Amino acid sequence: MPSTVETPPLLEVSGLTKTYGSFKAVDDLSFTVFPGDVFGFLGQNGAGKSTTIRMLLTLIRPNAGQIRVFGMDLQQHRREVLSRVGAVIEKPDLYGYLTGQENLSLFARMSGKGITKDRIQETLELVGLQKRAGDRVKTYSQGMKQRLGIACALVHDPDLIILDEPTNGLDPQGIADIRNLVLSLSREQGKTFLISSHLLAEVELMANRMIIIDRGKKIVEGSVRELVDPQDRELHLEAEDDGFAVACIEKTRWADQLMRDQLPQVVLRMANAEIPALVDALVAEGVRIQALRPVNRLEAYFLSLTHA
Amino acid sequence: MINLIRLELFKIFRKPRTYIAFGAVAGIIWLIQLGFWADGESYINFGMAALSETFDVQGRVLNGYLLAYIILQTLLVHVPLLIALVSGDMISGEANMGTLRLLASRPVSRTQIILSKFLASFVYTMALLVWMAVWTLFFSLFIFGADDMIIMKSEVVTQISAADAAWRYVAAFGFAALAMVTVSALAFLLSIFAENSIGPIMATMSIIILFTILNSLNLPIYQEIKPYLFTTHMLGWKGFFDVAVNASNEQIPGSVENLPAVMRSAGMLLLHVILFLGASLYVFKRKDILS
Repeated sequence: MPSTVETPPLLEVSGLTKTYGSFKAVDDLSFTVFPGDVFGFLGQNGAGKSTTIRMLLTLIRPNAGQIRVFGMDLQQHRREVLSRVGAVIEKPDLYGYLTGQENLSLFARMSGKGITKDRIQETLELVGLQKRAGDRVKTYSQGMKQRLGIACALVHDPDLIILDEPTNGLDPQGIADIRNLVLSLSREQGKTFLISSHLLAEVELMANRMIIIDRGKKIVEGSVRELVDPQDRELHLEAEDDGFAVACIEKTRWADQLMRDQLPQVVLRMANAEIPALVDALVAEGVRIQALRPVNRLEAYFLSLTHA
Repeated sequence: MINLIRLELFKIFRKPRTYIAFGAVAGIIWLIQLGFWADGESYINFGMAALSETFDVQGRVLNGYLLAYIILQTLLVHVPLLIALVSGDMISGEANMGTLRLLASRPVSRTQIILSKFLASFVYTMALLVWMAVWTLFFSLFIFGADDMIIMKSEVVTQISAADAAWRYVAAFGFAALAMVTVSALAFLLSIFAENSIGPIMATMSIIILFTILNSLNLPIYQEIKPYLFTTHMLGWKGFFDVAVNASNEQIPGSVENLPAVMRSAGMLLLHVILFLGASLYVFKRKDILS
């Protein structure tokens, strides 16, 4: 299970900065990932997610900042750290002229660990590619390439797995498969994941902790439970007559929970447990409720960033 | 490191493009051999007409050794393109496919990546040269037989006995290999800067063509730089077919007329290889991998 903040961090990023000329792709970014976390790394396209991930994998040199993984400085212990990290960076590009098995075997041999044929077979089965393992990768669908990319990241049994937009280009079934794979590896084998995405809903389903970045800067970091708290959510009420609904709410004990800055929209901040009582009270007053929808504050916030 | 070189060789020899060079070399050599087999005698007689008026030339002038010399002269101008096809693709091809980021995020150093890739392209170059040597020398000797070799240059005619020719070919192929490794190293360096292989291949050939043109221009302004252009030294293999003579103007078997010049050329080529490889390491180790 995901660890708590008392556990020593598995990945510690502090003051990470990368500039290209006058453009700051990543700006003084700091965050922490604990052992067993499924850590969501959120941001709109171009927010600096891939640049950060490339710095975590030593593909790009930061201008400033420090990265510590497994308690070691990444630059000083690069080889040792990377032997315990698996990654899929953006698209799962592999050698199209080689078969799936050859690709996997090739990257396994580069891991510096003695990977057996059984382990390769086991990994292919884990991602459901055993039947197509002998086919050239250029004949694979996008979903199969994505699964093979994940197999390449997992074959050497890493402790930290970094997946950059792992569900890009996948159909709903493919997305569900990836999600289930991440969750099972996290729960059953205690693997730590850092998953970047521009889709909040996707991260909410997998992650226990998350960070949102925008223009290279951290906007918010914390546990998903805290950030997307079902006990303190906003509800958007739609009635036949919104004005009458507001007047009725003003007379109830939930008057203080009415978000007046949202008017004329009827939005209340309240716990899930209180919803039935509110509905009963309003119906008793003769309010004809048409809809009651939860508003995810984080999502609203995230969307405002995306639409900015 | 051995493991990495094996993996690189595996990738090179599983790529269909690799075999274009082997096919092209075999095809060109076979066409030249066929042409000389069908019409070579009249061609040689025409070339020897002036010489035959003065000397009584006996034996098989058109033999395997002479044909191998002709083929080498023809082919060594074009082989650099075939070398660049693979070496120019070593890094840029990975960047183009998107696999460079996967390689560079594995627990191997960038120095190891460069050295393993360079050594793999070196093995490919050697394999191509051996392939060329087999087709050029062995098949020419098989088809046309062995005899003394007569080479006509602008002012002199050199006759090399069959017994003295074989080792010269071994040395010439060794030198040619060094020249081709220089081309390979240049294409390899250029491939670090690009994200598709067309650029490095074209750039390599453009540099070779430019330097060759500068070599052929006997203008004073270019004389100073010629000794530093690697293309000046690439045809140094011909030096092994210039035989030294004694005071009586008789050939000394097993000798080379100007061995220091040949060795100097070899040294210059080696220096270029070291420079190109050193630059490749320097650039790649500092490169941000964005592909």
